[in-house]
Amino acid sequence: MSVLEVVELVKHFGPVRAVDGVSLHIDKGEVLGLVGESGSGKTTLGRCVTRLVPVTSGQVWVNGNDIAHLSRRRLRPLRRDFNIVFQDPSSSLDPRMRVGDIIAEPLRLHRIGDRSTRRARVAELLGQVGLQAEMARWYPHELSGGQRQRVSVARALSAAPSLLVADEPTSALDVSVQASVLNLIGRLQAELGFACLFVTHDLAAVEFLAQRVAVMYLGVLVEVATRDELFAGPRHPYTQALLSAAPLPDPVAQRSRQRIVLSGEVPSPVDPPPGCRFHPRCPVAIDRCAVEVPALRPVGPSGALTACHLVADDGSAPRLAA
Amino acid sequence: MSLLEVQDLTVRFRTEEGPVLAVDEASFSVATREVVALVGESGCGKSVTALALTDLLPRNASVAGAIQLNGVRPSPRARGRDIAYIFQEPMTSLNPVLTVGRQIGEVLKRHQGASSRARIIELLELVGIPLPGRRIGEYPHQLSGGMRQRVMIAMAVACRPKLLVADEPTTALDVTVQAGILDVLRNLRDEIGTALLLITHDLGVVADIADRVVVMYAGRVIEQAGVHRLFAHPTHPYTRGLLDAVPTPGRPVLKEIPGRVPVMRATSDACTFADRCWRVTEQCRSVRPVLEPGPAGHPARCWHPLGGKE
Repeated sequence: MSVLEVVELVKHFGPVRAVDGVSLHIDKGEVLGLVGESGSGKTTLGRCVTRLVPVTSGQVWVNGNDIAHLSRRRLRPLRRDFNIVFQDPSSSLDPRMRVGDIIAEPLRLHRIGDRSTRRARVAELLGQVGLQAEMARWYPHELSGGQRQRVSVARALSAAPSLLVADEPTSALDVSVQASVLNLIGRLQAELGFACLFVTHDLAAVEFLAQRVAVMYLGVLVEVATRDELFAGPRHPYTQALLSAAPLPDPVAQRSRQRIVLSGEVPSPVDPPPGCRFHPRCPVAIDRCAVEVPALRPVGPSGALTACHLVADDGSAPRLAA
Repeated sequence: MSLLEVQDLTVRFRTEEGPVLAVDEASFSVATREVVALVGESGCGKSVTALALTDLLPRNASVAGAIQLNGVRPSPRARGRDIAYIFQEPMTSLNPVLTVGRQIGEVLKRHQGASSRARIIELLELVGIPLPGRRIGEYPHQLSGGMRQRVMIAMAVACRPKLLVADEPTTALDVTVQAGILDVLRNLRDEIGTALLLITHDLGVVADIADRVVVMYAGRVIEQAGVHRLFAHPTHPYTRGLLDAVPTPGRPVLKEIPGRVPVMRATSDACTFADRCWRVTEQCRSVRPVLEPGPAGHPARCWHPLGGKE
């Protein structure tokens, strides 16, 4: 059964159509990578799923409860089922709280356990995220960026949620520290079995951590596939361009690649293009793309989803050349 | 002969918490038309090195060492003209109340005494800005992040500098936009012969554009090599650690480098990486390693370089 089921989710900020009809699901124990560039709506989607912002329309089912339009009072007891790790641990931890209190806060809010069991739980969590027990008495400024992000992860997991949203959890960190946070999330996810929506622009991190990948462009999903299928043969022209643009850390491979350079830039989400939102930049667009919105539909034998008129039902897709 | 020669560059800061040694006797060079990547994590001294080259350090910094451009010590004026700097954040480094054309024009006037609309349009074309005749009258907020960074580059190359120093020029940008900016930088080298010193932490960008790589750690240059050699034969354990930390498909667990970059107060007789290194010995903690050719033939600052006899 799905831990998270998002149905036709819409979130508008005034005229900005940040998320414009997204449906997806995440199963128990699964990591879904949500990739896209700035302005794609991926962060907003993560915030809608955790109800940090009100939802304009659509449904967000977490463990069988639609939380999209619940009042704060009705939502509160359900909040222990899901939590979020933010991008920048320096600004998402209260500098005046001790690490132990930060991690115990979800337990206090949900009235889980008493003081001594909470203290024991904090010690257990610190151990799980690879920090020493005495750090419970420290303040965030005494920790490095990577250690702070470990505290964020411990806080998010303290009430044992079944869904974790990780919003660019490694983007503010150095490469060597990124590796340790990715390892940590991967290990905890395997051990504890929570479902994870991993929001990032880092394709290498997604390939490392996610089992399935959803690609977002200008408020809508353009492709959803298993990691192996997506990275081996991206079908949507935008996915193809995105994958080809991310430089590989290998000079031989990188310099022998065919790169697809997109013309123009991501249009404004205030006034997205009609038809396929990618058509003004798409090298293979046809007349139909400018008028008819392509549905996100199953293509090929595996059940992968693509929203493109040029991808055939059998999954064959136009290959973009440089 | 090298275009830029940096010898024993040392930068100290006086801070409220005491002195900080940000750059510790760094030496490297950049040849004409060469793209050199200066690589390392935050705190390794790469940005401070770049700011020292362009004389943009704050007042609490003291700089020692020699910087030579074409074999001579450049005057402050020559530095401003021949070495240009591109910042990471194009939004905060452009003036929001002046049009694009006006800002580029001011650079031309200051350094060349005159500016013309034709020359500004030519510069906008050089950095791949479509419809330059229209963009010239627009304000920074009307441009996307990628277009703003192109304007920054146009300003930087307005006076035909010999060397462009770019500090993380694509870090704030999306990958599809980054690809275009890297193409612009490559074109500048090919078309007007500008050398590039690229400060970056992104090994993908290094693999894409650099001819040669200088790796810094805790203020010291710890390894340098041609790009292919460095990726194929990393010799310093830190370089190896950086390369292994990048997520790679098929690797179940990523390699981590335990600990963090130390803040150096004063120069030390130890290897600055000793506390994080898995090959550390007593020698590393008591004798400062020198930058000398390792087993793969290129210089590394390590007593126990990789690739030799174990």
